[in-house]
Amino acid sequence: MTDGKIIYEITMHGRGGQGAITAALLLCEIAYADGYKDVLSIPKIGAERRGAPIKAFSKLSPKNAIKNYSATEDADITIIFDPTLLPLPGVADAIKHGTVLLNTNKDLDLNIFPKDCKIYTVPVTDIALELNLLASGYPILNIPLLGALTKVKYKDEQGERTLGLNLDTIKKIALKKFGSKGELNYQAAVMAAEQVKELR
Amino acid sequence: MVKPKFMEGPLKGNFASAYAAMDADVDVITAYPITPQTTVVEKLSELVGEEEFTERQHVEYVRMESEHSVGAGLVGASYAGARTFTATAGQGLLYMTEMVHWMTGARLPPVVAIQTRGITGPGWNIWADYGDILSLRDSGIMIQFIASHQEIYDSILQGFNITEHPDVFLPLFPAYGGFVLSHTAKPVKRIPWEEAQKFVRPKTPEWPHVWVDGERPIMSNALIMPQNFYTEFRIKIHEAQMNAIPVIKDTMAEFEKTFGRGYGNGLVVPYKCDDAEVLLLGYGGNALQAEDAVDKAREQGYKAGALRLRTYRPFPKEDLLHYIKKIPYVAVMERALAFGSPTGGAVSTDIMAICQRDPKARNAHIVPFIGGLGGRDVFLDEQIDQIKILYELKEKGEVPDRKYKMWDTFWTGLITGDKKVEVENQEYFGDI
Repeated sequence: MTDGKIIYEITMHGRGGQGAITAALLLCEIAYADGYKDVLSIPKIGAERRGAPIKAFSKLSPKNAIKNYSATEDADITIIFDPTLLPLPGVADAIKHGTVLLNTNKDLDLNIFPKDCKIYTVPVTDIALELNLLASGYPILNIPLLGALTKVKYKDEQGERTLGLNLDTIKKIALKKFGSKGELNYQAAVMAAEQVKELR
Repeated sequence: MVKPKFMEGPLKGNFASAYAAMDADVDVITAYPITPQTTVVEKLSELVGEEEFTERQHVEYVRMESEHSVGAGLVGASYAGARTFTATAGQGLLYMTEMVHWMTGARLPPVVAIQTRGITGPGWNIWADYGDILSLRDSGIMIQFIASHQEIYDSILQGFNITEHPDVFLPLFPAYGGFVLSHTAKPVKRIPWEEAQKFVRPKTPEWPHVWVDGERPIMSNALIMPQNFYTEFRIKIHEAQMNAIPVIKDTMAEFEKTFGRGYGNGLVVPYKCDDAEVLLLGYGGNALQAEDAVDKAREQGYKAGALRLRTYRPFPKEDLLHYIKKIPYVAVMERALAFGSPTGGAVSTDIMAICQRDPKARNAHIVPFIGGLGGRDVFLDEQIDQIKILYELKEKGEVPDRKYKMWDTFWTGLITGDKKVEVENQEYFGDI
């Protein structure tokens, strides 16, 4: 990795059962396979409840060792699994800078985010339902969102760039981890990468 | 040879424990689940049946009905000469306590991984807090504080070389923060089986450390009258602790030579101490984070160093004094509360004691900090503030005041209408 940023901090907001904690771990595995020096995934564990808001964090370091186990307070990239989370305390109002990636098929009021934030949306629930990518009847969102993340850009004083993650790596890891469902996960990731929209 | 499912990549701390136990060629694992340890024994129950392992080793995995029985199982299996492993945390460790004392009293060498967690009261808590393992401070076990995922794996692999050393024969409890390390994932490299076996103490014919043989019955651990050898046996446990200091150092040196990575001398891990004027001393994940705080503070002109206490029992007196004599302004940060003790912290009290016995360290300034109890995040800014407090002390000659200073100890990160904590509470409990 030649990226000069010390650590990318990514926060995932999801609801229990949507796969945000797994997404944080998968993102670390993909980034490590794509050449990041150190990665750390942090699940914020409370009382486990399906449907309740939960948070998970990934820290990706291109060059240096990660020594800080604290949760991220000011994320560089915020991934939101469900638009109904936006008004809850600690979700949209906790975003101070960076990039936002939101799962929705609807329009979005951009004024709820700080002015210099880059905003992306992608309808991964629709994609998962279309492909019949389900777990216990629920659409699988995490691999598709990570597919979309490969196209998402981050901007700072060093300029605008993606995280340098590859769909091929997602494919490799999905096949290894999800066996027979790996291929379908990968297809959803590709579709999400095609359908992700840059709003700002 | 079956290809291993995992050799390198981001791995949860608890899975690192499980793989390390298998790679250290354990014979018996006794198990009972407790948060945040559960995934260690779950993973082990998978691994003992996986082809990679079944084709080369046989591990007896015994499900028990409680942690007390888990401890008793380790004692029994160790007596029979088996290499034994388990993991537990918090209340589970408390329930196992009686058997922990048996392990040291009978001089048995299990390795027990601890995912430290808050002890019950007030209310349940399952997050990182070293109060559980430190409650066994005086039981004769060796205690190590682990700060990273790779270090979990490496420490357990080294563990049996220390516990089964003829000069030692005491159990080792490597402890790491529940959820902070147990459920987070970071890159871990496993050591291939053949290389690991060259390092791990071999099971030679004389290896069974206690000779239990049906053909040659013996009686062990009988009643000892006061006029017999009880005192002498107890002193031998203390002697074994002292003997463990060079053994831990040698084991770490050999590990580093063989595999190219290490953690200080096995006892303490210094960071930028050569030119430091003040010192952050701590243990576990927070002490690793202190290295980041040191880097940040140095950008602001504060020449700080960090010293991570890796082995707490035996207490590395000489190594700590070496640094404290050079850098006499020391903040001791602890994630555990020893109620009613002189400073509130077990480690800071010990450090003050060793300074008192050394004329050259007697005037060192030891400033106790306690925070992060029950898993509360310890933020970098709080650690940088500790460095600033030490500088104020260095310049003005007395410990400065802060809102959070009580009974001469600093209590970092307290809730005092702090908005950050309010938001977190809303997240966990909703609008109540």
